[in-house]
Amino acid sequence: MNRFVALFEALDATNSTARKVTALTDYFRSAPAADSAWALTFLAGRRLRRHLPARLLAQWAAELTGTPDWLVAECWGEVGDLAELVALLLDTRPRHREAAFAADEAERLGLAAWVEERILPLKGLDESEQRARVTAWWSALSTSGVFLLNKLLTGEFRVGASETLVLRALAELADLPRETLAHRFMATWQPSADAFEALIAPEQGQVALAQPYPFYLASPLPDGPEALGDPAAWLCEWKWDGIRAQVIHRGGEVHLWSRGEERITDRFPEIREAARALPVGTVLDGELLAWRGERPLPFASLQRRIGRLELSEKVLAEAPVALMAFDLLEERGADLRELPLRVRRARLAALLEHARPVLQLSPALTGSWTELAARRAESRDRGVEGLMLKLLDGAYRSGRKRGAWWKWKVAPFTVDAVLLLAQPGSGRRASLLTDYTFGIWRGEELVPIAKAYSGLSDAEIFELDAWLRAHTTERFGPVRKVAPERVFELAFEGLALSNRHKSGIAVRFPRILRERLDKKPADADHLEHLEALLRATAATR
Amino acid sequence: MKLDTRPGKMNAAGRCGGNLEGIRAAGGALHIGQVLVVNPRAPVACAAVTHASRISDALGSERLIVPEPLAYALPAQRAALPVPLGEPFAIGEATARFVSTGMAGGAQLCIEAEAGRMTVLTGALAADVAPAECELLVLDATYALPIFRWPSSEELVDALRIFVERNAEAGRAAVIAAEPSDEARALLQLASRPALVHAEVAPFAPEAPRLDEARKNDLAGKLVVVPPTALADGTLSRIGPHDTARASGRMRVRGNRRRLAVDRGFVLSSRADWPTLLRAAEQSGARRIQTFGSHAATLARVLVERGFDARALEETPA
Repeated sequence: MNRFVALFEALDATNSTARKVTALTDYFRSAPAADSAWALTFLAGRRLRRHLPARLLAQWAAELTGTPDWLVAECWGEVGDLAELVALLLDTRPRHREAAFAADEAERLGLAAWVEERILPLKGLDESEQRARVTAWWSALSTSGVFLLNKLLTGEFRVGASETLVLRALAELADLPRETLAHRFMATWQPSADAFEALIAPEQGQVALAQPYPFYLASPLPDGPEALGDPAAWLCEWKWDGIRAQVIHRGGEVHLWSRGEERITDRFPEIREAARALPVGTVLDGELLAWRGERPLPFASLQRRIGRLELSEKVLAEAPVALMAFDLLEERGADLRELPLRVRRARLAALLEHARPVLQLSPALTGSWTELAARRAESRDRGVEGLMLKLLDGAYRSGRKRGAWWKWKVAPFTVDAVLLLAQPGSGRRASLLTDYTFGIWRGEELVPIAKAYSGLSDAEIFELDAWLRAHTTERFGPVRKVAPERVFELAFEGLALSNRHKSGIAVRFPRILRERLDKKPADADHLEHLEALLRATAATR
Repeated sequence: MKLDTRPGKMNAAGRCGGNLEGIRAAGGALHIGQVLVVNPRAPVACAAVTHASRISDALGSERLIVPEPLAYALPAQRAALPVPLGEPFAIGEATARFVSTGMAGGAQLCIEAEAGRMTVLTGALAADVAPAECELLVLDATYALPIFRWPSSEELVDALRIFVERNAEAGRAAVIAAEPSDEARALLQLASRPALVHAEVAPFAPEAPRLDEARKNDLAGKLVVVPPTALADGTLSRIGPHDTARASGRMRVRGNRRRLAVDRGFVLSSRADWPTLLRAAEQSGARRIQTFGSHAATLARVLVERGFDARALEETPA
C-alpha cells in the first residue's frame, strides 16, 4: 500500500500533467504487475462495487473518536467528502504508532493483496466483523493511507488522475500508441497481473471480438464556421440528439456499445437483428434515436428503452428506434480508421444501401456557410441539436482531438428564474453553497423549475455564497431558503411533461448563463412561457 | 497608507471612557462594552490588537494598544508605545494587560473589571502555555471543528524543506502564499532558509530580499513568500518556473487546496486548532465561556455538552 499511497501523494502534490505522467510511469515501472493492474483500474475511475456505505465508515470513526453525530455532520459540511472526513477525524493518534508491526505490514502489503485478500472478502461478513477489520486497518495506516482505503471501500475512487492521463503514462512506458492502449483498455478489462502484462505487451494485431474502438469526440465550434475555410472540404450533418453508439458485427455476434462503454445490445433488438444481416467484420458508428416516420422522437422516449430491465412489447412499440449511422470503422474485418472520411463515408453509403430501414445513413447537407447556417436554424423544428462539421480528409481519431470534428450546436432554450434555495456542493465545492434551485411564476407563486450547479465563475460563487448565507430565511438540514431577490438566466436543452415536478415540466440539462442584474424577481418568466415552448416543440414533432 | 502620527494619541497609557458591559462580535472584531474594540477592521476610538496581522486595519485609531511582541509589525515611522507583556494599562474603569501565548505573533488580552476577570484568546497557544486564569474566557472559533488539528512544527519544517528542495533540484522556485502577517513570519521562521518576499510581506520580514528587486533568472531554487492575492494577480507570471503552495489552516481540507489550484498546502495558522480550544477551556478555570467566529455555535455546543456555561457571541454587522 505504501507505494500506492506515495503515488497518490505525488499525483496530488502537483497540477502539472507532465509530472503526473512521470509519477505514473515511475509507479508502473516499479510496482508488481498485479498491483499495477489494480492501480490502473482505480485511477482510471473504474470502481469496485461499493463494499461499505461511506456513512457507515463515518459512524465507526465517530464512535472511535467519541465525536457526536451532529458534530460529524458539521465537519462534513466543511470537508464534503466522507472518506476524507473519516481520515481527518482519525488523525488524533500519537505520531509514533504503537502498532508498529501492523503498520509495517499494512504498508508492505501490495495493492493487489489489499484488494483481493482484504477488501473484497469484506463482502458477506456481518457488520461487527467488518467494523473490527476496517478499524484495525485504519490504525495501521497513515492519514493518506486511511483516505485511500476509504475511497476503495466506498467505491468512490476519483482522485489524482484521469483515464486519459493513466493511459498516456502506460503508452509511454510500453512504447505503444495511445490509441492501442485505449483500445485494449475497454470496459470489459478485468484487473490481474496477466491482463496488465497483456495490456502493455507489444502489438499482436488481433482484436477481441466484442471490443469497440475508442470513440472520436467532436469539440464545440469556437467561432463561426468561416474560419474552417472552404465548406466543400467538410462533411456537414445534423447533430442528432440520441445515444452515441458503435454497432459491432464480428464472429456471428452483434454488440452495441454506448459512448459510456456500456453494452446496450439487449436494449435495441431491432438494431441487433438488422446488424446481423450486415457482412461479418463490420463496425458502425452512429447515433441511436427514438424514431418514427421521418423524424426523431424526444430524447425522453429513448430513455424508456434504457431505464428498465425488461423491454415490454408496449415499450418496443411506443419507442421505435433507428441507428443514424455516420461512420464505418471496420469493413470485412479491416480497420478503416486511418482512411480519410470521404472514403469511409462512401463505403458506408454502399453498405447501407441494402440494409434494413432501422439502419439509416445520416444525410449530408451541402451549401455555402450561409446556406448551412440557415439549415442550422431549422434544428429546433427538426428535433436535432445543430450541425456536425467533419473534415472529409480526416482519419478517425480517438478521444476529443480538436480540429477535424466540430459540433455547431444551436443556442439553447433560456428562461429568467429567481434563486430560491441553495445547498452545499460536494467534493471541491463542499464548503460553498453551489447547488441552486430556481423558480418561475405560477400566478402569484414561485414554483421550482430547475436545479443548476454549473455556469458561474469561482468569484461569482464566492460572492453568491456570502450573500446566500446573509439572506437565509429558513433552513431545512443543508438546504437554505433565501430571500427571492436575485434573477438568473438559465439555459436548457429540452422540455418534457413531468408528473414528478411541482411545475409539471422537467427541463433537460439546465445550467446558469448569467445573472440578470437588470431584472427584478417580478420580471422573471412565468410558467405559461415554458408551457408555450413545450407546446411549440411538441407540435413540430 | 495615511498614518496618524500626532503625539500622545496612541499612547497606551491614555484613557478611554465608558463602561465594559457586554461583548459583541462583528466580522472578527470584538466590541467590548462602549469602550474597546479588539482587532478592529477599521480605525476606532480605542483599539487593542492581539495579532500582528490585525495591526494595519487598526492604524489610525485614536488610541491603539499593541503588545510588545507585535511591535515589529508597526510601521517604522510611527511613534507607538507598545506595551510590555504583563504591564497593566487602563481601559475605562478597568485594568488590562497582555499575557504571552508562547507564540511569536500574538498575545492574550486580560481585562480586570468590577464584574470579574476576562481573558480574550484570539489565536494559537503554545503547548506548554495555559490561558490566563479568568472568570470569563472569550475564544476565537474560526477553526472550531475536530478536523482542524495543526501538525507539529517538526512536521511542518520537514514538509517545507522537502517542498523547497524538490523544486530546487528541478530548477524551480518554490512559491508559498501566506497571509502577510504573523503567518508569513512563522512560515519564514519554520523554513529557516533565505527567502525572497513580496512587497506586502516585507514588513514582516524586514531582513529578507524583496521579490520585486530580484531578477527572474535568480529565482530558481529559491523560496518565495507572497500574499494570497498574488496567486491570482499575475505576480507568478514574473517568477519563471515554479510550484505554488498555500499556507493556511484551511489547507487541512483537500477541497480547499484544490479550489485554489495550488500544488501543495501547508497547514499553518496563527489561530487555535480544535485541541487547543478544548484545552484552553479546561485550563482557564473560567466559569463562563463565549465564542465568536465561523464555528462559534459549534464550539459553544460542544463546551455545553462538556459541562461549561458557554454560548456563542451575537454576531452583529460591523
